[in-house]
Amino acid sequence: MKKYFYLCLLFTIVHSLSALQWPAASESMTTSFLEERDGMVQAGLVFENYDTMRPFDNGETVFRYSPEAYSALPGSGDSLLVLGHENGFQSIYAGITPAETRADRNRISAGEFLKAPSESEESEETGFCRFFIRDALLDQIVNPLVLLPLPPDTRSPRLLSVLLIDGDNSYELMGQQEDLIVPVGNYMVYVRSEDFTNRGVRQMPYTYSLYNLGTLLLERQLDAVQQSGGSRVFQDGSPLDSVFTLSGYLFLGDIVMTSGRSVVEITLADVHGNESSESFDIGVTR
Amino acid sequence: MNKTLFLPLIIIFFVFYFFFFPLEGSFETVWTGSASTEVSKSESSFEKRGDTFSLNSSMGGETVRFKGPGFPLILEGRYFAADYGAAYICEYSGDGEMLWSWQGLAPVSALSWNRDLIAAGSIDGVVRIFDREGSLREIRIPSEGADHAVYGLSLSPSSRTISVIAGFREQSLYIYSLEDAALVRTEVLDSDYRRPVKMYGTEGEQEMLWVEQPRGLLCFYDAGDPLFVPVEGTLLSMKRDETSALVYIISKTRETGTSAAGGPGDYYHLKIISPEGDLLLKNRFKSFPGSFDVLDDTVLFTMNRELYAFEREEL
Repeated sequence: MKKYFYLCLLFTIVHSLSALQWPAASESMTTSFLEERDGMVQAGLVFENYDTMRPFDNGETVFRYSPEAYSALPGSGDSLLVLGHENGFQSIYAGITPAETRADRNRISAGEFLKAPSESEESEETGFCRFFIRDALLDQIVNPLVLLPLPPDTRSPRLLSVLLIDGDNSYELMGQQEDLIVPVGNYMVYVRSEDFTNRGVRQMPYTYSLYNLGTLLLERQLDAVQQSGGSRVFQDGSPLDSVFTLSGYLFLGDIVMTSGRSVVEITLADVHGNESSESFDIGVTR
Repeated sequence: MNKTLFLPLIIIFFVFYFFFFPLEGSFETVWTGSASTEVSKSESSFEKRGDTFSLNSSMGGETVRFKGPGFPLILEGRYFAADYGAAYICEYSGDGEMLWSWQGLAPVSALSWNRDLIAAGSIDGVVRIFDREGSLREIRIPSEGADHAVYGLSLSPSSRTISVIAGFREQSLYIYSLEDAALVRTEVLDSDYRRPVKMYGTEGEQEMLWVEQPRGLLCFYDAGDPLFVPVEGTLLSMKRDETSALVYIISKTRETGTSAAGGPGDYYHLKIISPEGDLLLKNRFKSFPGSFDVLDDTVLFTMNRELYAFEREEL
C-alpha cells in the first residue's frame, strides 16, 4: 500500500514539475542565476530579444505594477508582474510591457501570452524581462534552472581564470607554462567560468568545488538565496556580498599554503551534471 | 384663487422663510487663474542614462556621475536608487556616496516616506522601516499562510504610526504604533487590489488617513467609523491643503458612448471637498494633468506642457 502511495506521490511531483515551462525560449536567456549584470548579482534569469513570453505555470496575479504618474509606487523602474502558483512558488516578471501589467486579470493560464514591449506598436524596444522564482513557503529565491525542463546538454562548464590572492599578491593559475611557485600564505581562491549548452546558451555553472591535496575544502551550489537580516545569503549562511566581491569572479574559499607542494583542484558541474575539473600543481616556498 | 392675492402670498412666504431660516455670514472660496504665481523650482536633479547616474544636488556644485543598479528617486530631498523587482533600495549622499543599501528577496510592493523614515512593504507581508542611517526595523503583518502581501503603506507625517494595507484576497488596514510596533487598529476593507494602493496621511489639527477604495476614499480620523468620500472613476491623486483643511481629489473616467458630452475618451475630474466630506467645487477637463500639487493657497497643474496655477481667495 505504502509503495503505491509513494508511486502516486512521485507521479504527482513529476507531473507538476513537467507542467512548468520556460517563460521565453531558452536561447534568449542572456544572464543566468547569480550572474553579475548592471552592477547587481541577479537572483534570476534575464531574457532579451524574445518573440513571445508565457507564464511559467498557471497562476493567480499576486501583484502588478506599471510605473506611471500618480502611482502609489514612485519612480521610473520596470513594470512588474508577480504570479502565485499552486505549488507554492511565485514567478516574478520585471520589465514586461506596462500594457500587460495594467490588465486587471486575476488568473493567467500557462497558455496565455505575456506581452513584450516589442509587441506594442508605439515601442521600438525589444523584449527584455528579468525572471525570478520565489519559494513563498520557504521564503527563498530559487535558481529557475533547477525547476524548468532543461533541453538536452552534453557540454561541460569551462574554467576561464583562477586567482590566488593574498593581500597585494595575486597569482593567475590558468595558462601557466611552468609550475607556479608562490610564497607561503593564506590565499583566497577566486574563479571565473562559463558554461555553454548544446544550443549555445551561456550560463553560470551550477556547482563549484575546491580541493587541496585531495581534500574537499568547499562546495558552492548556486541553488537558492535566502535572507538574513539586511543581506542575502546562501543556504550555508555565507553572504552573497562576500562571495561576489571581485567583479566577474566567484570567491570559493581560503587555502592555507605551507612550504612544500600544494595541489589545488577545482571541479565545476552544470545543472545537468556535466562535470569538468582542473588541477594545479603549486610549489610553495618560504 | 383671485390673481391679485397670488403675488402678496408669495412675498409673505419668502418673508416667513427668511425669518425662520436667516442667511448666515460666511466666506466664499473662489479660485482664480493667475499669471504671476511664483512656483518654487527644485534645483536638484537625479537621473540615469544607461547604467550611469547623474546627480546634481540642491547644494550646487558640479554634477556627480557614478554607476550603480536601480532607477533614481528623490524623496523628501534625499537621493535613492531602487529596483522594486530585485527588492533593492539604497541611499546616496549629495556627492554620490552610497550611505546605506538593502536588498531582500520579495519584490517591493509599497513605499512610504516622510522627513525621517522610509518604509518598504513587500509581497512577503513584511514592512521594513529604515531611518536616516539605514537602520532597519521590521513589522510582520499577521496572516495565515502566504496570503498577506503588502499593497499600501502610509507613514504618518509625525512618524507616530504606520498604516498598512495587506491581504491577497481579503484586504485589511492595519495601523501600528511606531513607538513599540504595537497593532493599534485593524479594519477589514472591501477591496482586493493586486496593485499598489494609494494611501495619504495628512496632518493638521487632527491626523487623518485617506485610503483608496473601490468607488471612493475612506478617511480615518479617530476611532469611530471612517468617512466615505465618493470618487468618480479611478482615483489619480489627492492633496490636502493644511491651511484651509480643504481636500483636492483628482480622478479619471473613460467615456465610451458617443452621446457623452465632449465625445468619447478619457476625462479628468477635480473635486474639492470640505473636511466633513461636502462637495465644494467640481470641474472636468480633457487634458491629462501631468502633475498636480497644492502650494499654500495655490493649486498647480501641468497640462499639455503648460503650468496652470489657481489661487484660492477668501472673500
